[in-house]
Amino acid sequence: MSYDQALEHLRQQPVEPPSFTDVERRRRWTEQRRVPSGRRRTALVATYVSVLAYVALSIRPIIDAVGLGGGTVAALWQGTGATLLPAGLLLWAARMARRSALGPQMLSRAILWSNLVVGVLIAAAFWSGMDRTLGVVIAFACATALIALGARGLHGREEDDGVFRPTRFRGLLLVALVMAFADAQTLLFSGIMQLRIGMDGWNLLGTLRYAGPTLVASGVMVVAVWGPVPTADVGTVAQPRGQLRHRLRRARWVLGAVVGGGGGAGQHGRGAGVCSLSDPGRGAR
Amino acid sequence: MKRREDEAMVADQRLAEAIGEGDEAAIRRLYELHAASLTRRLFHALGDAEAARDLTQDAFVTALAKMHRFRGEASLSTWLHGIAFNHLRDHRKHTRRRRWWGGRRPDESAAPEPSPDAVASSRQDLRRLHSAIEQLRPKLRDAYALRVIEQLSLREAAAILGAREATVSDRTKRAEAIVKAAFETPESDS
Repeated sequence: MSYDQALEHLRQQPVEPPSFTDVERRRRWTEQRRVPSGRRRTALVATYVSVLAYVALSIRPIIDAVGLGGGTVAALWQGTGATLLPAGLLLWAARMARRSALGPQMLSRAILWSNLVVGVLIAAAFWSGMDRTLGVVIAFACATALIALGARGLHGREEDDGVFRPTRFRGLLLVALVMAFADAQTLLFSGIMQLRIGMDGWNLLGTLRYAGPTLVASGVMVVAVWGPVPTADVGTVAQPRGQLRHRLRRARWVLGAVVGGGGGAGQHGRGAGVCSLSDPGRGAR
Repeated sequence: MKRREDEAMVADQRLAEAIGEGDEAAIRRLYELHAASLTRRLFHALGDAEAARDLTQDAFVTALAKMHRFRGEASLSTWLHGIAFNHLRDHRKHTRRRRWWGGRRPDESAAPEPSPDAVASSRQDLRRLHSAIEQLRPKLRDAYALRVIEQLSLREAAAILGAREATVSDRTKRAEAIVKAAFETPESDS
């Protein structure tokens, strides 16, 4: 058979389209899951407000340094290095919230929960001044975004056979997953903060010993909870049944190890622990 | 010719408006007009019938949700196919990542089963053609599927793929040369 004849055979091969019922079912399912545009817009604005609060948090030391004639480069590192991660993640969350798949929806909520906690910690760490106000703004904006998003979009994809489709304890499982990922992000943030504080003295080995375990643990947790590819259909929710349980177990194990390690480090007398957001002197005015 | 095009544009616009108003019959009409061709073209670009059906559903869902954005600058068919090929690109990206990380592979029964009455020799030739097409990079494969297999006009293929006509023409020529050469090379194990 010649190439042209084979091509003609290929053209004539029948390919069955999906049935209209299937298309309609998927359309209705997507509509049910989609957060209404008004609420999505509120969540988006609130998320951007929290990003702006992080930006303000990061440029304030620079302004201070310039005003006082201090070292701008050092201030730049102190400022942006710490807040780049949550601000970037929040922008990512805003993008993820637009998608209707379960993975991105969970991810956006996890990031918002994580930053809600970070905002509360910032507000609690600084009793007065601009930093405290910004911490309150971050926490409030994240809470607003979470309320606006609500529970819409956190339903399973009923036509996906062979993937995670919890029916019993569904709410608890989803909350566990969201919070586990939020834990991982908060841990990563703490690791970066520790790295920044450690790098002030330019002691590389000491800094790695100090921040390394936290950073590694957060990385392991992200992979444990979410899987190595953080996309809509490869995330936790698209893994075959059974894997989810293992992932949660791994996340619990890593978290336990980190908390144990953190306690040990605290007893060892190192200054800033896992939850220390900044050196105490920085916030004092 | 121009008048027929204008009439088609008006019909598309009306259909889009009816869908925007939630007319179930209009949605069904859109499905009847385009589902078969869309699935077939996606299948030729992807080589996986199940994934093609899945992407067709996604394309319809996206198109129905974004029907208010249809401006009538291109035909409804071209607009719908453009959405479908965007989904196809996303699908490929995810599949590539999945392979990179050693995750679950997609259904690899890429070469479709020929119709039951197909003779053995033609089945073998079809498989040979399929494996030749499999060698193409995604962009070349899309151009080949639309221009050579589906025989769309250069203008339409370019509009669907979001590329310039000259680019699509060049990709088609390169793709066809590769497929022909691979098809005509005798198999070493046969």
